Amino acid sequence: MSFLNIDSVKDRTFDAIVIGSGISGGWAAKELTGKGLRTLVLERGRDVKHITDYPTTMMQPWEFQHLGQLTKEMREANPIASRCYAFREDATHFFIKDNEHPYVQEKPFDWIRGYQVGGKSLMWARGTQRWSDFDFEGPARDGFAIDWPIRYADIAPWYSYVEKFAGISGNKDGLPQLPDGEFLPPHEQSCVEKHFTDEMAKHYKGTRPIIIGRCAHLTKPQPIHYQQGRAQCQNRSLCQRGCPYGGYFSSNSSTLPWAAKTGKMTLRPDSVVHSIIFDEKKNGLTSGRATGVRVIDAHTKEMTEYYARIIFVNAACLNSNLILLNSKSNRFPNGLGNDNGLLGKYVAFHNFRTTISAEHDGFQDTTTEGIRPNSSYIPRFRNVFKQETDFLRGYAAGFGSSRMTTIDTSAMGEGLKSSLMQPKYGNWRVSSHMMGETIPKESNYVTLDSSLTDAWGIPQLKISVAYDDNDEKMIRDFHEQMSEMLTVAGFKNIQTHDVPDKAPGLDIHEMGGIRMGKDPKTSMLNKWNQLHACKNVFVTDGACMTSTSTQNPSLTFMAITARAADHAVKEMRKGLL
Amino acid sequence: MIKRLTIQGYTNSEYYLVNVQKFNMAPVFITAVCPYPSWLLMVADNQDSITQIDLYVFFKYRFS
Repeated sequence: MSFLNIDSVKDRTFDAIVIGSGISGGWAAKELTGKGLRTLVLERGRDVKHITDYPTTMMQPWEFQHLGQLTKEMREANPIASRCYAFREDATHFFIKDNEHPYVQEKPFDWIRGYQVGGKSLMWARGTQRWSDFDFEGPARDGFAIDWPIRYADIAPWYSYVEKFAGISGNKDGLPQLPDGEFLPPHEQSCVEKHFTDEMAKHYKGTRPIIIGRCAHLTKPQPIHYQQGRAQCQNRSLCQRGCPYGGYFSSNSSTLPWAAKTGKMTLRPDSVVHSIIFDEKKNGLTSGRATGVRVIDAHTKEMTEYYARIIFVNAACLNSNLILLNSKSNRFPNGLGNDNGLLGKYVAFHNFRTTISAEHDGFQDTTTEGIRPNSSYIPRFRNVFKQETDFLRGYAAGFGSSRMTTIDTSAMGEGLKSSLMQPKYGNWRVSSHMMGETIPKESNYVTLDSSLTDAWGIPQLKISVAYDDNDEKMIRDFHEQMSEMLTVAGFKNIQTHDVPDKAPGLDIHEMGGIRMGKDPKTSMLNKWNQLHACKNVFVTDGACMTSTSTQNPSLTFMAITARAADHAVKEMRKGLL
Repeated sequence: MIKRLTIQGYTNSEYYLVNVQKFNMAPVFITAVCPYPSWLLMVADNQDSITQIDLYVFFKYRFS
């Protein structure tokens, strides 16, 4: 019977394993299969097929049982997930339910997760700004964390590569802190946004530019997008339901189908990765290498091992940390590659805690028509070229405007009905949310709880991440600067909104814990995203980030993943992996 | 609360969204700045049976 076992092992052996099928996992799958590698893609959640598994995507607002709102019971059952802006009746099926996936909050942290094929790429916010050398050189210049092992020049070609495939709309603005990319036509700014842009240019002499956001929407599809089966964005702004047109980039609409077309991809949903297997033998082909992963079937809870020459860890930042922390061996008793004790430390995020809103009583003869799935964007202007405040780094901000109809609901009976039937246009309203860079610190960390486990027997993640004084100063500065800017531009009724006890996490931009760096003593990964201590394991999701910048990070995850995959295959062909 | 829920229900109804708000699930286009002539506002304010939005939509599609 031994030949049966040999066949079984052969069936479970691949050239590469990708853990996770979200934004970076989808890219890893596409790149590795495209270069000829038989690749196993493991996803802990259920399968979600493009279009057919978007059950609410064509539902009209009035067709929902609760008209799109969350019920009291739903909120009470999901106190964490329901704080996310996209967790609404039309999209709850793409979010995990709080009680099914517990974690330990040593400090309050809202951990938003989407366990399904495609991960959070189905309901992400689609902002796709490049990082610049002001970001990659930031830690070295400003003296925090450690120096990045790469610079903008290393990754610029890979930004171009992923932008062309994913489809990114935007305007070439020529800003050094926000490099231009391979853009599809941009969305248009409203007259009030243009007014704000013009007033800022005049008052601040070009130092505080306002631009239209760069986002992963097909405003004018190119042949490569039609080849993916995607079509032009229909401006529905119902993206969180999954887009049947493939109008925005997701793993489900783009990279995973592309990888599947090669015939080299095996996608295995409902596969909870327990840990990575490390070969501790002193001799042999695989000694000192990872040989595969242990996978628990989400339903039967049976454990199976899969093997490959290289492993890409793309489980999303905190889960990638969890998997490595849980990958213990005699060689690595504190987690795979964790020789320096830094695994799980220096976690950072984006400070999305505060917003500001205002009104403008001009432009009464204008409005907007249609729906724009995007907003204007204020690139970072604080501490860019020199240190000018008492806090480190800075913030970017989203900036949107609308002219909504208002209804007088004070009357009753016939008067109320008449008012409802004749909504009137109010003033233009604008709002802006801060996207602040936070400083990675050793005291912001994740680790494994020593006693609590999840439904699959895996230790629960313990999260200890919080704002610090630098973040508080940054929030105050955002209020002051934005209030001044809005006043200069003639806005009124300016109101700041901040909830000091609001937990971090709702930015859904957690990064770090398995950071890149030049020195194995102070970092986990090298410049190619390989674990210093286990070269055939690559981490290319948010966990690899050395610092956070202010820009939305997903585009950088995509570029870093494509770059690392290219390096991995080259090394394999040289026989080095 | 009952009044609020009644209004919410009514303004999310098919009748209201289709006939008053002219809801369009897939507008395809986005016009970030479009003129809203002030004379149209004044006309609408004087018409019990025609809403501002009705007139605006009529104007937009009739003459564009």
